[in-house]
Amino acid sequence: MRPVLEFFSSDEIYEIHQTSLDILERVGMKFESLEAQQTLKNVGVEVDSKGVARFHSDLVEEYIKMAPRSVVLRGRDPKKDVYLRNDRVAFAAGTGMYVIDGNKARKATYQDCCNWAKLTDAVKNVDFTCEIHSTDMPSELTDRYNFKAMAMNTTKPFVGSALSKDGVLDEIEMAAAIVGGKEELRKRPIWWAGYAAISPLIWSENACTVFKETAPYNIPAFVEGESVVGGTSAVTVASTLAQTNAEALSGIVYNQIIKKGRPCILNLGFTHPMDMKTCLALHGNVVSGIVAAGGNQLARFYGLPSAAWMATDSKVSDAQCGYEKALTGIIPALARSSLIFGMGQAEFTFAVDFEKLIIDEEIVNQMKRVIDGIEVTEETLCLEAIERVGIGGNFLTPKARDTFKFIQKETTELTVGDRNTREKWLEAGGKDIGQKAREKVNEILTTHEPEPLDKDIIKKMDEIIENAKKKVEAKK
Amino acid sequence: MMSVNFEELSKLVIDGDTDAIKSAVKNAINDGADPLEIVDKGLAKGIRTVGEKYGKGEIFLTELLMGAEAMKAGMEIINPEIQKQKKELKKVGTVVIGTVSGDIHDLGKNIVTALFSAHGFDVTDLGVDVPNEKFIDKLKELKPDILGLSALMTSTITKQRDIINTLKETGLRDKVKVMVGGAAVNEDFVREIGADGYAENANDAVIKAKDLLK
Repeated sequence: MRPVLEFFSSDEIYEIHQTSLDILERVGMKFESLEAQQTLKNVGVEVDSKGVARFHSDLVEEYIKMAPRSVVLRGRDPKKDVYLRNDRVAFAAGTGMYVIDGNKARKATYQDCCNWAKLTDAVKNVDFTCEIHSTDMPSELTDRYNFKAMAMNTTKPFVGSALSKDGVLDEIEMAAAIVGGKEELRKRPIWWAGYAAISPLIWSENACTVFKETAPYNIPAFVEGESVVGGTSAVTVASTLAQTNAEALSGIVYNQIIKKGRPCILNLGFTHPMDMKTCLALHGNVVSGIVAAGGNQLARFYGLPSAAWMATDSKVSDAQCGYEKALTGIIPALARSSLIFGMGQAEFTFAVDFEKLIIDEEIVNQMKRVIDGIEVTEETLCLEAIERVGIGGNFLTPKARDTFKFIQKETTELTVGDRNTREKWLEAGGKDIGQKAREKVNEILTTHEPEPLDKDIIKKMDEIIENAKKKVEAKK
Repeated sequence: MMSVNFEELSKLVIDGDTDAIKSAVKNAINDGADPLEIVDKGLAKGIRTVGEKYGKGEIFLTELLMGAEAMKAGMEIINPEIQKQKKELKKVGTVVIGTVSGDIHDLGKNIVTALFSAHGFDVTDLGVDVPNEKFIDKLKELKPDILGLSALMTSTITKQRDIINTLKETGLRDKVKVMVGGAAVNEDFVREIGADGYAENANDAVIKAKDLLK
């Protein structure tokens, strides 16, 4: 059996689900986009003069069923495609606008974004990668520059941000250039559109636009309820889940209305508890992990993929960072969150730490062993080997030969951590995990060559950026 | 005489192919190869390569032991042939080994024993929970080059010290190299109790033992 961590009985899940439906019917959800309001009215949703849509529960249930059970996130290289399901776990790199260097953080540059993409391209356990927000480019154009940086430096699926309607349209053009045209993009949408509701209970103009503009290409929609627990949702985890679920469900309904069958991810895993003293949203708090795990159980109830975030609030790569990452990772991993973000993430979601990505690679390796569970078959019970080895022998000799094929699967190895004796450790230089991770980062950045992007595609991207620049300047 | 593929013999040891190695050694003998050369250029070279790979962390312990087992299987075929031709293998060394009294852990000791044998040492394994006097008696009887004392627990490694003290008292200390082993043993402890050496793992133990006998 592969272990699945569940926080709710089926009665409790139904109760949360029912509360979400009650919220959507009694309180409603505000849609700030007039176009979206009309779209909702067209299918019979009641929208009042303030833009608040009240959904009947049968309508919600009807549209939710249209979303597919599995979502494919596509990479430049089809072999790197990631299949999101609610019984599998994939891992994604984190994002941020600062880069941690020792105990300081500096603003990320375009070059950092390129390096981040390159590093995540090389690290095996990163299935999906995120841009980091460069701060040295014109602010209105950062999204296009980052898209280019990611596309050039990784063949894995990635997500960038879209900061405006023009930004979305340009990124669609850039994605189309990579796959060979818009028709191809419909078949292989190598991009996704992610947006969070503004808690409590608002879908912004920009979110509606992003969902709308990307819908024709069947680009997967990452629909997020992302409250700050205790601040923009009630302090109880149950109520937070009911509310953020209502927010995300209404977003998925909207997406299904615009495009029936559009792949959607029900993501409640970016919901973070507020520190009730400082007002900061805490990412490394274990409550983040259990909210994500609860959110995944809800997503499984609807047959939809989900997401989570392994994170830390620590500013440096220290013991707090290690334990928070491991805990906020393993809880949703055991709950089978479809995609766990945050490899290399540090300091809430503000910063990335390149060496932390290498350490997280190791944490993910360990977590994968846990979620693989304990395989019980006639073969893994090894009765014959026990008979052959007999009393007082050992299982390292050829008598146990038929059990050796399980070594790799059953045990774990470290890549940068150390399991040697003190002597062997000192002999190898007596380095701690951070030092070794730093060396590995340097090695990857100097030796790894991502599969290059065709020159014509880069030229096309540069043209798109150039045109956007002219447009922005003309507006000034 | 047909040319014998010594490379292939090495490879069979590296692969830990106990069955194939027996027939390969037989064939080599039938082809008229010098049994000492079969050992030297084939089998021994193979087990050295396995040891190097293990030392670099490239293979698991099981693969190291499969190599040792294949080596042993090959040697069982070749030893009678060496005797028949009245030749003699280069002597590597003799070892008396055991787990000290109060300690019943034998995994590490067994692995070391297997590796020593594979590398051509003549090993006498006294087993586990071996009383101090038995070590001394065997030393007097067999006069080995090396005495191996294994102790896993931090509570039993002091027995290693006791035995060395007894060796000193009975005038035997200079007659044998004492190697100690166990998870808690380290360089400082070796110095403190006056042993000659220790190793972090079975493969290093072989290397260390060869060094001590130079």
